[in-house]
Amino acid sequence: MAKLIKVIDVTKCTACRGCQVACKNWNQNPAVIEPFTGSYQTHKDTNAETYTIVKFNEYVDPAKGVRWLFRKHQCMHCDNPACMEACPRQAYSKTEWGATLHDINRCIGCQYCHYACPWSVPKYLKREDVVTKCTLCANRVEAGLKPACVQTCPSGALQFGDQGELMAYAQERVSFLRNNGFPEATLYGVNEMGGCNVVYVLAYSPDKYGLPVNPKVSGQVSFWQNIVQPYAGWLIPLALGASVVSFFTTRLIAASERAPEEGGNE
Amino acid sequence: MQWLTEYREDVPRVPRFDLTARITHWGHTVTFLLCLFTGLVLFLDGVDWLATIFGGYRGAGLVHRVSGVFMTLFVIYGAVFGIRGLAKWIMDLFRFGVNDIIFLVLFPLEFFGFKVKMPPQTRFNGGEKGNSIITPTCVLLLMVTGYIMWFPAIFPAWLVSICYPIHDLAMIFATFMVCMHGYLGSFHPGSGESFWGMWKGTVRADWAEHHHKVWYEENFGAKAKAE
Amino acid sequence: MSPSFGRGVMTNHIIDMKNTDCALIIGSNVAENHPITMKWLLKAREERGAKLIHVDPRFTRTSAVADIYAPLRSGTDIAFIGGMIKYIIDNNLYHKDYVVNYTNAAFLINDGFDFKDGLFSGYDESKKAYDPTTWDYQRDAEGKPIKDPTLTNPRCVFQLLKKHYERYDIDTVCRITGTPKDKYLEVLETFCATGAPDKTGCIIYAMGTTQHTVGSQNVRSYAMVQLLLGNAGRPGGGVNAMRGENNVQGATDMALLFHIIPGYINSPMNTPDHKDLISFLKKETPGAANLPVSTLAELREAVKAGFPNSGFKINTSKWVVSMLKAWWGDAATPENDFAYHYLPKRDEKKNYSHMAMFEAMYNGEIDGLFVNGGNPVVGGPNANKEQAALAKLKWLVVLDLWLHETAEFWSYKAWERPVENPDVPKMEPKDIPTEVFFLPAAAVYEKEGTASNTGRWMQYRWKGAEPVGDSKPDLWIIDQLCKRIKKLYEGSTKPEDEPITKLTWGPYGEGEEPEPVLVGLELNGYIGKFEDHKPVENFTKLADDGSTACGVWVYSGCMTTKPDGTLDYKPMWRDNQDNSKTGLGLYSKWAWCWPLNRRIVYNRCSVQPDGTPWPGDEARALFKWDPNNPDGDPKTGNPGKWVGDDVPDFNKYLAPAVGPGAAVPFLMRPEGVGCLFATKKDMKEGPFPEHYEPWESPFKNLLNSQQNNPCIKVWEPDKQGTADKYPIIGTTYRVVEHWQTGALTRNLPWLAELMPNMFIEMSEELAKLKGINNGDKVIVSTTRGDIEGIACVTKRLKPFTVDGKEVHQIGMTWHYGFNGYAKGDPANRLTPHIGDANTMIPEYKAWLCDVRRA
Repeated sequence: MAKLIKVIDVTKCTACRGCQVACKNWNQNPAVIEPFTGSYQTHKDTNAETYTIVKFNEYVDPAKGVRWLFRKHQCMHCDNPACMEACPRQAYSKTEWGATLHDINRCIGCQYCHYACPWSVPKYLKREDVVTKCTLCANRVEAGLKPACVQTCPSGALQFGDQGELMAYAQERVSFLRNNGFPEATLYGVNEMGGCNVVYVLAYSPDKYGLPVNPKVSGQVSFWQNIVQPYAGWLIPLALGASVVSFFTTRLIAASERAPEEGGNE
Repeated sequence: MQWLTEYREDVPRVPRFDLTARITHWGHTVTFLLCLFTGLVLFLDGVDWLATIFGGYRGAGLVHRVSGVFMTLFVIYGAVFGIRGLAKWIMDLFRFGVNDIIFLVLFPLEFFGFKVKMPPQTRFNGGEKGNSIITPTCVLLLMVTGYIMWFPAIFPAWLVSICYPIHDLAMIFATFMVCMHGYLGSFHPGSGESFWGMWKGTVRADWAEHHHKVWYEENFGAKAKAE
Repeated sequence: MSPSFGRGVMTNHIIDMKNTDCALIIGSNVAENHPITMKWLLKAREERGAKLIHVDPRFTRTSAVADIYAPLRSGTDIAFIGGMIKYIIDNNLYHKDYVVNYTNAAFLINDGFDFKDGLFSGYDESKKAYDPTTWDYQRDAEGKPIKDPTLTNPRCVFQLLKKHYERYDIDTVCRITGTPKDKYLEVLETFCATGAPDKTGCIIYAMGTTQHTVGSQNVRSYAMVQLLLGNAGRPGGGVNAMRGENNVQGATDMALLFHIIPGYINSPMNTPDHKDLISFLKKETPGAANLPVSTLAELREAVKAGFPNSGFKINTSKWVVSMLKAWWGDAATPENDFAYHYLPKRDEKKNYSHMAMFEAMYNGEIDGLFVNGGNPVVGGPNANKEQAALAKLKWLVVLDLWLHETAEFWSYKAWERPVENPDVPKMEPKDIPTEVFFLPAAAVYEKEGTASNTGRWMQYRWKGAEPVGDSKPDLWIIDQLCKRIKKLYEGSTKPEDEPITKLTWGPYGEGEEPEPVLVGLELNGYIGKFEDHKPVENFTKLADDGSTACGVWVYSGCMTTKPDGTLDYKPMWRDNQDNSKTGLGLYSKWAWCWPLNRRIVYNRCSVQPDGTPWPGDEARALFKWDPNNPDGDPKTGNPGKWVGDDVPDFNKYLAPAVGPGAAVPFLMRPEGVGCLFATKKDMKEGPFPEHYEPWESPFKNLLNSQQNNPCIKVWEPDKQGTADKYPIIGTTYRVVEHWQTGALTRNLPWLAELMPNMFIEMSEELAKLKGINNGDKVIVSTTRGDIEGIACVTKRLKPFTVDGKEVHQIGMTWHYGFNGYAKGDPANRLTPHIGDANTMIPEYKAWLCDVRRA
């Protein structure tokens, strides 16, 4: 099956946040009402019951003046997901068309994935003691529908479909933007983390949108996952093995020598 | 074949560990093992059969946390009520010297049962001194990182993510030491008597003199008796 | 817009915005309040390279996606647009052919007309009103206006217009509006380029334009720009009023306003010229006042023969009589003036607008109030006063989905205020005698019926779910109300009870719930008895002899009969095919729009006077003249008619011609063309929009010595705030997450979480000045009261430099109240009781206040 991707053209986003509501509706997630703290972005980040939010960033373009940059934030559905690697329970899986799925029945709430993900996407739901995240509406897609957020987007900022077609569209948008006053315009999610199934069309460099410029699995996590877990653990069997050997050798040697003096040498 | 060294009441014995030390030690032993096995469930990337023993992953998680708390309580208990013993223990660690180094060099031979002539040791021999440094350090790290991971929301993310490898590494070193310590302190024919030191509180005087000559001389030897 | 084009409606429709070359969004925040509009504008940008310009006091989500953002101080639109008119004329950017043929630019104006220092001729200081006699054309012996197609006569509209806006040079404009000059020039250059014949540009406005003391003139000024640039009546052009509510167009069509009866006909008054039907018709039919007729039959003959200066409204008698027949059926006979006397007559001296009603209520003149879908405790201007006014009522009926603030205006929490203020009334439940009834209403998805959107599309909506609990559709409630009132009057023989006892009421079906389709039949009009279900074809078939009945003439044509004889309600049409050959997105078989399914009104302007497309604009020509079409004029039998994708908004049988005999492009105007000069009583403040400062403004009017609109009614002179005490300009607005007073949306958790609390937007500069940090609680005060909110300190707002002085502006949403999941103080506790001189729409958008940390 060909890969299916979601393209988010932030230059067409009007931050109506219909995607946020559609997401809650499809996933039947309850509202998480947090007090207003001075930004239209009323949730600082996604949470376990809010899989997607629109981030609002104010940026002063030296040429154009104040810009208000909107970016829908959600799981990037990487091809080599760090969450999947970190998960001790194999709760994560990839569909053949690219969605990174998380099985809450396997999840034990350890939150390793949250800290492994460079965007900290998987979020812990205390009430259920599990982690949750965006599913790319796999249950809709597999029934032939588009993800709920794409379906509801009125401005055409969200597109979903065949990777080949949409990548061509996304590249066209970037070159259009570069020729129309946004020299920094770029794609995000193509090479990041070895490729993602969510690709952004950005008018400015990713940091202006609050995105890590070169997302990587953090050093401590890769040290932990790639060195400690696979190799360091062997010390324990080593100790056990040596003890077993010693158990027999000491007794065999003692038996062969038949040392008479009791207590002295024990 | 003989497992443990026989407990002999018919020979002179000298006190080695007081009650507080023994309670702390065994309390810590039980909680550590519980934590270890419940923790391995995750470390080994999902050992379903092991998790099942504790009532599944959530049960294991619960046992892990509860044991962790009790472990902390034992440590605190030991530190508070056994403050003198703790001080003595730490002071003994500072007596690390040439004899200890020789001990450590020759130890592998002894370990596998070959006869070696060890230099006189203080209350804790070179190996025990090493264990006394590594294990408590690891346990303290385990506890600190454990609590941080338990309540990640109140700590910065970088700290939490650092805790994962530290917790694992500390566990690995601690477990390594525990394996050796457990074996040496019980089934190893040469040092097995020390099991009774921790179980009953006393060891055979001749064994003490043989294995911890310096300590024996200082506490129970002629000089000490004379004073 | 009616004084400029003939109808007070959005000229184009939402999908048509994809055809534009440039959109000037002014006084509107389409991205937030009309997101679907934004979809088509973005399409225009992507597919046609259209430019989006946003002019607004605040940098909003619309500004974020616009190509050009130009700030302007709230309440200075006329200065902004006046400067644009001058720029167009000075640089010869107007669309000459269009201006000469499709507007009244060439018409000569009465010599008595004059303008001096902010006042037009005929002002009466004592009445605060004009005598508009001189605001008229020079006429020939027949009464027809005299024209000068060269546009050079100093008395022609074009020259007077040029003279009027002489003062609006770019520097003066920027001194008033606070717009940076480079931004203003960029807007002018970009938008005025659409004056080229092959370009169209649209103006999109909403409440940011109308909610001013000069709101109507603001709209006028936009219409004038569009007439000058030749953008009205063409795809991708027009003046597009973005309606604030999904069915506000439908509601006004049904005469929700106090001064009209259904179909935009002035409502009868207690004046001598409205004393009977014929007087009323002579008064309200343009050009009929001086006709020598004294009976309906004579008028009918005169209409048949035609008379000048009438336009399509010459048919007013047919619409009025058909409406009376629809209301009183058999009781409406030629002998009793078709029951004209049953219509209530309003007092000429009284004003019945929202504010006037609440002033009267406050003075104890009103006993009961029926609030259907409103929430004045949150939404009314000077809400503190309106809330106190409710306490003077004997009874109050609230019909809504939720127990909102008006339904609970008597509760303790309703009277809690952030600061003690002796000027603000404070009450307790025990002090309030009002008896409140609450009728739970069904939500829009729980009932059936039509709604008319901003583009005049009348769309049928089917029921999606059953109503919750005891809630009922409002159609059911109105039906029951009427039936029960009629029952109370049953058997009465008193003549004063006849309007009720003789009132026809359906029958709208057999069931307990009225059938919306049958209500539609009455809107459309029918022949003979209602029960026969014989719809009239459209409003051209209405008669004034009592043979037809029609509830709202503009909706006539919305129903036909299917081949099987059942009713075909056109709003139910759902053909998702674009019928236009050039992809203009007319979708003529998706729902139905009034009038007569014309998707773009005044569409004669989409082609040149000679019937050919505007040069270079073939794809946007809606019609062409087919001289050999056999389906010609049935009256004359001559072949030939206009054919095209849309329904012609002009006489489709008249061959293209220039001058007399040509089809008029603006057929609802008596003069038949678009009006750069508004004549006679069309506008209360004068033929040309002139800049006046908002009622509360920190600045002197730089253009004339009239500080405020000279025609406004001041209700509370003592409540006018001054800049020494209240130096900051305040404005209110909406956000996409909430709707109106928030009664619907603040009760929905998924929306409440997106905008949970009342907040006050301010610039970093002002925040620094006042020691306010982002997220702090702040108090905003005006002479009317105080509210508390959370500071939203942002780079997007900047202080304005007006006439060399720096002035700050703060903004706040008016969605909040004390009920629901998302709570906050209502912003309207701050807004003044002052309104536009023509429409009485309150000036919510510009007033003075002060802000401090709580």
